[in-house]
Amino acid sequence: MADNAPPTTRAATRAGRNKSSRAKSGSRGRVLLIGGVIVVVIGVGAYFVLGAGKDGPTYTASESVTLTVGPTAMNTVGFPGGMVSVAISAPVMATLNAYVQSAIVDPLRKGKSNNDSLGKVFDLAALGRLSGADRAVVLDEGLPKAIGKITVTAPPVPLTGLASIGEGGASVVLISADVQLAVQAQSANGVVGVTRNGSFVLAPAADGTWKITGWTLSTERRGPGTAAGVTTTSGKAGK
Amino acid sequence: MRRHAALRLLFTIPLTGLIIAGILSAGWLVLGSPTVARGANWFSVTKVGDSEFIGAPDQPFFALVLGNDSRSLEDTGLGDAIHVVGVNPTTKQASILNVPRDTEAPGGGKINAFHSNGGLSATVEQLNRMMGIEIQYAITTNFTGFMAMVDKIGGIDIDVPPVTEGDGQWNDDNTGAFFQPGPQKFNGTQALAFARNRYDFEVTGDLSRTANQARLIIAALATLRAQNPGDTGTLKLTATLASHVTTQNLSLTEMYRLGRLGLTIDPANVKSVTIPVGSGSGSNLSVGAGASELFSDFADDAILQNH
Repeated sequence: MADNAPPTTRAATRAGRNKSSRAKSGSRGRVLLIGGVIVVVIGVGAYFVLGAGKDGPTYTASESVTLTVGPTAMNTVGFPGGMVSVAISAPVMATLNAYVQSAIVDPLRKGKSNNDSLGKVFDLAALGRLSGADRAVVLDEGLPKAIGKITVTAPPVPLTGLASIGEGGASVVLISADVQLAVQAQSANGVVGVTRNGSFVLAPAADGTWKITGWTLSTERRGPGTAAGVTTTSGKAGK
Repeated sequence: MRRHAALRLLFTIPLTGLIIAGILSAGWLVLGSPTVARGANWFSVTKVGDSEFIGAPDQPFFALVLGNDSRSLEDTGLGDAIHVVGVNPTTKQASILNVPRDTEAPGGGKINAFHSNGGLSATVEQLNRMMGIEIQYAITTNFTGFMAMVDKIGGIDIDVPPVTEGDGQWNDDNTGAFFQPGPQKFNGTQALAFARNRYDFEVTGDLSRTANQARLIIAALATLRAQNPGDTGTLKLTATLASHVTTQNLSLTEMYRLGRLGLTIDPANVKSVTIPVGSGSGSNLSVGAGASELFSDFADDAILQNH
């Protein structure tokens, strides 16, 4: 009908259609705007309802540590090679697990290590070394406190022993443990990650336990707040 | 029509952005506000550092490395290859003083005879008196043990020096030392021949031989360092070494720690000097002029600064 109308009428009709189209577009925009505002309001509501106020979200503090024995080899002076017995590998692994707890998990939870716990893991000379610049490489202190799960994963740990045979039978004097530790901890500011690669050397203590008496380690950290407290140390020649 | 579409676009883009921002805000607030700690970077990886703790001595010390000519484990044998090694753990440097076997000992007679008569402790005592030092550790091996050790570690890479005396060739029938000068790998038999050969050095004789023995020690250090044995590899090497040597004041654990420490020293930081000797009584060599200055230089920090 509009097509048969005179040109002046057609122009008026077109103008009316444009007006109505603009009005439709405007109302759609308003709907979207309102939608966006609603989403923000829901978000703010959820923030307060779910308790994410000043204390941040709620996490369950738990640990997951998987450290198991890998292939073993024993080097006995004057005798062919063998394997590390369970009688040796069990207490060695117990010490390595204690290291993970006292040098990684505890400091991540509390910000620092407990000296008594470290004394059960490191021998006196090694503890003395920890009072210096090596501390930051060996212990995860001073990082954002973990509020959620701490996960420590590692491939099975190869153990290599050094032993001699005397009148009293075989005497294992040292064990080296090659480690590739990967740590993930949920902090208030995000996930903190630590990788620690190298080896620990353990020696038997008088009380029948094994203690860490040496190490060669390389440590990297990532995530919020991990740049603090960084020290670079090296006992290696040519480094 | 085109104008209509343009207008729709004009509204849609900012509104979509607003909705996405709203969703992100909601997620942000519900899942935790990712406030970046002051001074920290998101997603950065920080190399905290490397740390190596061996538990070896941190003060300068001296060790005797002695090769004896015994063909069996039961005999002590003459101490024919005598090297006093000074190590400074702080500076990661070492010095080797080579003592010709015919050198007259402070207690009288040739120094090499003290091993066959009194073992390592007697030799250590004489060297302590001679040099004014206190040797803490001593180690010795015989022909068989030496060859077995070299073979077990896979040989020694060495740059054989040219002979500048006699016919200028390495061709000693007595020891089997037939070499071309230049870089090569020695097996146990070759290493022993190189260490024993003195007949190709018509003028300097045992003086050149003892210097070559120190060259072999430094080459062994370089060969082992190149294998980068670390803690685990050094445990294996310690077992190999301990299987073929006799020691004094050196437990298996200490042997490991000293070996680990030794492997941190760059061979370029190891200096080898043969002590000056002159004619002595009979076939003995007397400690020569300049020796007291050499020993003083050595004794203060186990390193030769002025020699």
